[in-house]
Amino acid sequence: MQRIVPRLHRTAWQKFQQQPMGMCGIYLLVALALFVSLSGFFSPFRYDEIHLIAKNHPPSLRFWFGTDDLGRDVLIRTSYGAYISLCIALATVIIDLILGFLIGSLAALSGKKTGECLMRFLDIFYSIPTLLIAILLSVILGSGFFSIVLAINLISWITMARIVRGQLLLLKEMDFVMASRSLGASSSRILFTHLLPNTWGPIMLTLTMTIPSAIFSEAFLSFLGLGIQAPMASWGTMAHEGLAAFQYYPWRLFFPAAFISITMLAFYLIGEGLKKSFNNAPAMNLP
Amino acid sequence: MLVYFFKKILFLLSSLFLLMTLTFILMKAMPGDPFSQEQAMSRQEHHSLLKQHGLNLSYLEQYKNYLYSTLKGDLGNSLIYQNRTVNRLIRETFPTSAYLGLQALTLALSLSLFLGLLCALKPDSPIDYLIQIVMALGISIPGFILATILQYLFSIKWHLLPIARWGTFSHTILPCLTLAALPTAFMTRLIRNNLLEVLQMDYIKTAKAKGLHPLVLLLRHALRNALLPVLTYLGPLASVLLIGSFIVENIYSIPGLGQWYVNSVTNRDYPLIMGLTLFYSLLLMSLNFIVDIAYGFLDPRIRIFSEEE
Repeated sequence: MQRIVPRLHRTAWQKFQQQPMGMCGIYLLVALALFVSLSGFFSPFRYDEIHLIAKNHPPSLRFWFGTDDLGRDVLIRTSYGAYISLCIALATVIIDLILGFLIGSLAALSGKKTGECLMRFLDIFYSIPTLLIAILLSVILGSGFFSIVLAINLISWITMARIVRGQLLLLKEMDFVMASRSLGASSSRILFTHLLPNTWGPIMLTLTMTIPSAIFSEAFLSFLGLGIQAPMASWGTMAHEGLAAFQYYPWRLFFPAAFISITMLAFYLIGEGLKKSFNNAPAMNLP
Repeated sequence: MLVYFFKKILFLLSSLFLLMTLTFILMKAMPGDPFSQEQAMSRQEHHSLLKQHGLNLSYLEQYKNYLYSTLKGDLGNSLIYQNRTVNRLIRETFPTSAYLGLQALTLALSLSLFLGLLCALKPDSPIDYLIQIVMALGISIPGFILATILQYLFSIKWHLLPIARWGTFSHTILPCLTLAALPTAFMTRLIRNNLLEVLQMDYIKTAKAKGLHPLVLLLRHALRNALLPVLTYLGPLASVLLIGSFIVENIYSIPGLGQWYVNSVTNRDYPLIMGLTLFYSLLLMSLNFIVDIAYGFLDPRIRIFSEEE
């Protein structure tokens, strides 16, 4: 009995490996991570190191991606931006999983009335446009890493809670749960060995949508000037600064922009691969 | 249908109430009051200004006043621009944004319908793959980057279209393309996948067995059901267009409301930000409401399920 769960995961992974799109996404992400960490490790520069002699230097052997208006190396700033994006993605995953799991299973497993009330309440919150509230919040909280994470994730976990609840409600009625219950399994055993492991598919799929949307939101907030502030660097901030001078110094926009696009593409491909291997798509979500 | 309608109305009203409460709390959470930055002001003047704007009352009283004036349709004044109310700003600049948004919406809808049909006609063919790759790129490239690329190619390199500003039709082409890219990509994928799913259904097989022409089958029988889920995407689509308009109007210097919103954020013009956020949220929520009603009207399964709940 106990070996069913790992085997189930293994088959899902095997199925995923057969999807060329999904694997392409994984390779892209790994290549990106490798490039960013290697360049961060071996670069002779620091992300806030200023070279006033080499202002707006085009890409060369010394500065692979060129420099910005203060002579800071764009390559090391890009990999530092990746680190920021990674942190934001990680925070999103943690908040999504903890809150989404807790509230979602609470709504699914508590009594029908309580669950319904909770969901209606969340629905109301959910109908408020997220990015607008994020803008408001970051205006009030001031710019900075934590206010950005808070602003982005204040409402986004509700998607996860809805997915978890829907999945649990579906599974609760399945025959194998009934069989397990009739064999005398306790509620907690049913929850942990039967229900939760089976929610992983849709959860992973939801994460492939919430992570890029968090990264995109950061870029968007940075574009409005509400994002991470100098000397720290995020892709959004760098693209925003590069935009003003892109006719003369295109590399300052090109590199951060390319990295944002590649990351988004990678997550999109992974999501498509997952969707095909799990073969059940959750509700449409905002990009 | 009536039960469904009232349920949705109740939902809309409670969302609106929550939204207004939230904006009020956020407004009060800001340190200081709107006039505390002005230096050359005596205590007395300061006090009378507060009194004039009703800011010396208790929070509960202020909340009541705020709800009342918002319900009357008064969204407040700008701090920085004299004599500029939020309402006047919306009246003057929103039509431009709405025009651009509607044009992009039309483009996105027709283009994605065409491309989606093309893909579903010949799934897994080279043309299907090509369209899917382009659409994947459309989803992954953020709007401000696409805008810059288009500006560079069409205006700076080839001198075909004006780089920015507003006026003639040629001014609208690049912003419209930028704005429509993301929704087109999403809807093409949606229409393609829905069509392929619907084409597997039994009633399609029946129609096929009766010897119906494939094109008639696709257009008359399959498309109708495949388009229903697209309707649910119209709500999120509106918010995509809205967020897009902030970026597009900024980059192409279009005198629309999105431009003003971004300016008010940059200038930290708090009452303007609050008023416009409220307006935008209202707009999106009412659109979602309309979509919900239309969906319940077109697809009986939805409203019957909702009434049983």
